[in-house]
Amino acid sequence: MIYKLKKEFLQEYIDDLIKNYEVWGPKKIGNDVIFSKLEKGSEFTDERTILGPKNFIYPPREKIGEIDDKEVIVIGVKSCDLLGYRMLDDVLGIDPSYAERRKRVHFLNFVCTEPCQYGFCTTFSGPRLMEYEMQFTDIGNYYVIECNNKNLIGKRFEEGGENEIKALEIIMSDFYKKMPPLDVKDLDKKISWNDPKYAEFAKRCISCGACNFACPTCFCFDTYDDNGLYREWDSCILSGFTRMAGNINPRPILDLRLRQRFMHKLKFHYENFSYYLCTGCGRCIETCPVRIDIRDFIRGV
Amino acid sequence: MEVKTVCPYCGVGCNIIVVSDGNKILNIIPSKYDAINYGTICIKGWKGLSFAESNKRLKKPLLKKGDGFIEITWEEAIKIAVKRLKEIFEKYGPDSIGFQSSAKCTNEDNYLMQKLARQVFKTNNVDHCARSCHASTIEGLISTIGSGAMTTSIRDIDNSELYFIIGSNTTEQHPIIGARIINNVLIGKKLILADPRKIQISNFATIHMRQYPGTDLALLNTMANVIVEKGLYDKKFIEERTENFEEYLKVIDFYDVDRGSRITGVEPELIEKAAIMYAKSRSIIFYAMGITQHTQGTENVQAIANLAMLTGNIGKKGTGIAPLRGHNNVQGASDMGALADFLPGYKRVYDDEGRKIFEKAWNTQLPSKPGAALNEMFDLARKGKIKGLYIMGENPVISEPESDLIIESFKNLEFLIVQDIFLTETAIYADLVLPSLSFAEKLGTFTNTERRIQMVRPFLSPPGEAKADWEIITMIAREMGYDWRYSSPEDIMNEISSLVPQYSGLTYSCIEYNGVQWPVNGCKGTEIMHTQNFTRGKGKFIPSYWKRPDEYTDKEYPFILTTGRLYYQFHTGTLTRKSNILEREAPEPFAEINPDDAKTMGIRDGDCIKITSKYGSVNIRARLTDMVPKGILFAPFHYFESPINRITNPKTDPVAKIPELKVTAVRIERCYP
Repeated sequence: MIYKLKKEFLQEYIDDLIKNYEVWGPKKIGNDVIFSKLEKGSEFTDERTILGPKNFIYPPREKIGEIDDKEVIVIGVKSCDLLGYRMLDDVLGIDPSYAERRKRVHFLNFVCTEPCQYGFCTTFSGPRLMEYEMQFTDIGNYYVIECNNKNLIGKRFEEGGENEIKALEIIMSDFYKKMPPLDVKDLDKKISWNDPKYAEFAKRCISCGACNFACPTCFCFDTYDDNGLYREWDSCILSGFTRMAGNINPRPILDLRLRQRFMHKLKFHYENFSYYLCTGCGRCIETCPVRIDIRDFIRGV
Repeated sequence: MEVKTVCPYCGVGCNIIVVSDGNKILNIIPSKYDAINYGTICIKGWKGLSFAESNKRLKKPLLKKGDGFIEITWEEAIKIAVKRLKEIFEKYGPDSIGFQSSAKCTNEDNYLMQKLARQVFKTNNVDHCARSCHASTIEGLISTIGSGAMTTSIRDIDNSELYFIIGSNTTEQHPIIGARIINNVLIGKKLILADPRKIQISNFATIHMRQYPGTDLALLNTMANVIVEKGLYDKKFIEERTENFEEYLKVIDFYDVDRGSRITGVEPELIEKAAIMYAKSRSIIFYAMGITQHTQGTENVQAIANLAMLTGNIGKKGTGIAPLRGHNNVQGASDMGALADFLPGYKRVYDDEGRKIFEKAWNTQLPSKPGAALNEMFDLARKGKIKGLYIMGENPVISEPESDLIIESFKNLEFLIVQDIFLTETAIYADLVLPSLSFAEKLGTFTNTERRIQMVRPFLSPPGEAKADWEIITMIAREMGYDWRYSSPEDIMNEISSLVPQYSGLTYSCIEYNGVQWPVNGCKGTEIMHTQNFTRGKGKFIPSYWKRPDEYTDKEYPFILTTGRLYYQFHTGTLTRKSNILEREAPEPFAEINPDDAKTMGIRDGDCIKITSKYGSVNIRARLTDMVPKGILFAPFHYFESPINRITNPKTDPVAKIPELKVTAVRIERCYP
């Protein structure tokens, strides 16, 4: 269903949500915008956070089997992140704690109407998603709200129609003009095992793992024991990720580990699932201390 | 709850935002703060904070009983601590107790620790690990330019044209600064590297000089010689802002390129090219332990200051001297006077005027004789002069040279208190262990390598009954009969800002969100120091001749061992080794050896080798790599399994008393564990 909401009523809508749910959304703290538990609607901003809210469904570190059962609403997630979580579902969906969290966490996404500095989402699905629980687009005085969850409809929502869809389409075509898609046709076939870029990137990569930790689609984890079994996000950039007994490592040098990252995102996953494991969010570029740029890589292929 | 705080590892002081529910960390987010880390952090920031949640944290005070410990209450613990310290104090006098403060603790903690030593126990026997890392920076820079800290800012890196890195593995030890340098080199700026090892940043070096360990002073003097020879020095700057230039000329005259090349092993053309490039560009010099941890550490640092003054590369945008501080708060701990010879704000203990300020503020007579430095405390304990030791957040058994002697010295003590967050390799020798709070549970400030004073905020609830260091120290002082009334770290900062000129007028409200760089005046900080005048007035050239390191190779000890840290581990591993991912990445000790050397000795990768120096031997795995040149071994010092500091050279720089950890003559043989 299509609705519209006068922009000045968004705060009130969030206030109403807070009455019934635990609501998290982007909040400004000094120079930073981060997902924070909202106490009132006025704290909300639709600015872009540096990390997406992946931790709500897949915590950076967790005691295995420990899930709290509260329902959470995360409002203000960007479409690129949400699309990434749809991709996580294909891999982590069979994991009981992930599946449980996925059911309890409701993501209400906001469609970007202006390109961000590092994003290239038009290359993949673009900012307006086909699958969502509730999708907000700023069209000036109103938010157009595409809604698939009746329980979350607000009292000020007005029914929308043709006009709103038209407004959305105009904004989107404008967006695509401002952010022309990269050419990814047959990328999975063209990407080279021996691309010299891997070595070039390895020269400056400081192995911080940010590209994995910031990525909405990265799902690898490691488990360990500390008076209980824990699991935490892992990074394929690290040598211990593939090191085996006897110090044997199939990817002993950084070049090969960076290759794995690009090949997995742009080839191996495509071969298994028919889509690239990348949503064009640009978070790996933004959080990379040495600005290794996946867009450069794709352009160079 | 989400708090903005500071990463507890290196001196870069990256700003992070931690989201938590009070009991566990839910998310760690790098802050976009553009002065330091602009939305990036290294692996230690991403993965290294889980130590705070470790189940191995100390939760109750522990008293030694037999071979083990029993849990006691805080009341008992403070009573016992004070009773024993008082006994020692009364029986043997004030200098019979030593206090070791910590660069991992906040400014407030450090300030109180030195105050406890000086006001309550009347001794200057208070020191911390700056002694083993940047003591020579403090002495070397204070004597030349008047202030022992980075003269410029991290942000200022972007304004520079050339970076000269000497004795710093920047991408591994200060990754976010290393990355900033790389980003600048990628857009066409230049990098000169002087390091015996082929470290990662050498990939970007316009010139890489691989000098022999312990020849840095000769290299720096030779560069100066070239600059003078070619007339590339800044005459106006030297005339207006410096003194003692004539003396300097006399000394560097000795270091013509050929001599410099013979001493350092670097091709003359390289030295020449590097010197010319440095002099002609707006340049910053970065250095770290490779410069300071030498018997000539102070002179090395002075040589760096000389070079910067010679070319006018200081006090202006995009220039300066950047000592890279190892610990998050080693700058702050030094500022707070947790040093045997300095009161807070770098007032010498024997400077009557400086001492008076504190005597008045603390309403007491203060000792004017410099106390025992960190490493001297162990010597004195062995000799029976120091009978009680109070160690806060340090792990000397792993971090200090010739560590067997440290363990031996503990046996001579009548009372040893260790205050820490884990039962460390040092804490097991303690009579009393006091559980304290980590950065994750307490409020305070850290001062990073660029002098930026930043807020540290709690985001987890304390484990068990553990208490903040400042709280514990206050309890001890009160039990000793001193009316200390600090109810929060803010009270302590208010006292600091009224006494320490660099922190003058600073309040917590100034640094609510972003930190400020000292010298501060109220809330206003200083990005670049020495712009008009040097802190000491005129900059002073202090030349020195190069001397051979204390140890050098001979028939019996044909290799040079140099030590350092790894990217994934930090210091004695107390924190990083509790992190699953960091420990997985660097789980065991090793010694790097050049493949040619290994071949001649029949050593294969992964073989056990026994490294022997004058001080002892250690078994360790060999790692073959051409990162190290022939004749040189490199080993990290993080590991208790092969405590490399058991065999390192304890000889110290006579001024700064910093041990020469970077050069130890050793021999190696195969071993069969």
